[in-house]
Amino acid sequence: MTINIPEFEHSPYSLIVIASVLTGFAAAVFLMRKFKVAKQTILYTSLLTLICTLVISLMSSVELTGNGLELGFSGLGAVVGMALGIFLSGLIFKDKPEYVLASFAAAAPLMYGLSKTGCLLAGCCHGKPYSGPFAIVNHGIHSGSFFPAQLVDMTVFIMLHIIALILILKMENKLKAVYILIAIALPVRFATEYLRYTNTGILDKGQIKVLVAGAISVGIVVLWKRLLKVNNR
Amino acid sequence: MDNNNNIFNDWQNYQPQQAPDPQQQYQPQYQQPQYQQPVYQQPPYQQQPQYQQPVYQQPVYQQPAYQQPQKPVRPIDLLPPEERAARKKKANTLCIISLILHFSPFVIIGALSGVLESLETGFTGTSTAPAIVQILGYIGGGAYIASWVFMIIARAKYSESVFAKVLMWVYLGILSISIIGTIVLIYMCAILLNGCH
Repeated sequence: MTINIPEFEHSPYSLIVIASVLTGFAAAVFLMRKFKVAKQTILYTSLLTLICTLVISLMSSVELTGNGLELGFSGLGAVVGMALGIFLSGLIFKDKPEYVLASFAAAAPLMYGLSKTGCLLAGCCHGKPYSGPFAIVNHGIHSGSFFPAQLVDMTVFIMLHIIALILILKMENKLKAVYILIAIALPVRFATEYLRYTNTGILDKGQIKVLVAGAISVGIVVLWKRLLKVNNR
Repeated sequence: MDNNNNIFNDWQNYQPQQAPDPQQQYQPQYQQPQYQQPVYQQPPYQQQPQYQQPVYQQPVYQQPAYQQPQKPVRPIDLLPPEERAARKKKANTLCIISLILHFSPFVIIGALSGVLESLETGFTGTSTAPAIVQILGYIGGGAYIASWVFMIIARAKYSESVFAKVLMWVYLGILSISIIGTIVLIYMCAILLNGCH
């Protein structure tokens, strides 16, 4: 059984990515409302985090190749952008910062999981050549039969979002819940990188990027905790 | 003995009262009901209505009962004018810095295109140009984020500032137009490319 992806006249990639980001933000806003964060904080944090997510996601994908200037949305760049946005707005508002961080940390896997639908339909970020059950058959630029890496990413990260919701809603110590979530998400993202066609070995460029993005995000959270003097409540 | 004689005499004189005749006592007295002949009156609706000339009174316009809602007194309004002026100055400084930072990426994009142009003429084959493009991209992106940060600080700390409020809506407008413009451009390019086939 194979999954046949038709070639689109107009690629829905950009629209799906933007819709996924907005859905994730809606989930974060819902959680912040549940945690009774002030409306002003919610509004400006969401705005600043959205700007940071989009800009850093774009910025980290700017590349000058032989074909000219290439632009796109980088998922890892989006994670770093989101962490930066939360960090900056935490410094400005100082209003329940651990709840704001927890809300966005729970929403991030949802954004990533949903945005993989765009990759699946566009044929990018595809898996290694494969022709077994559930193989993805692409046409056009990325034509071929591939391992369903995007479907694996999508399923795993939506499940991670559900785990994140349970952790963040049930645990009293929100910061601990965020650390647990990072500890799960980072190895998972590192492992799924093996399924991609770009992977060349045990520790290639893609995996180094994951480790760097993870280290920057953890660094931002630790710095944020020290500057805002957030105690483990 | 005298007493006994008296009792005897009383007993002799005693005459029981006659029991009342039940037929005589419980005889109901039926009275003939008096039916009165109904007097039919003319129903009111058949009566000729009496129209009265309505009396129009000149309406008297009064001051409306509700009062113009008064603006709630904000803590900022209670500050002395000097302090308010100082706050306004600080907010304006933040807004001007934000404005400069917001439009600096456009200058950077110009520099980026210059780098691209030089790539075609002289930089081909070197790794300097891609690195410069990435650095300029990071600087442009950083300046754009910083402009939003300064505007949000102005909005949060000096909520009374009209400049900051206008700036926020201008930035949101530019962002929306940019996103819509990019999507339209992508679709237009796709249509044009399809036309080339």
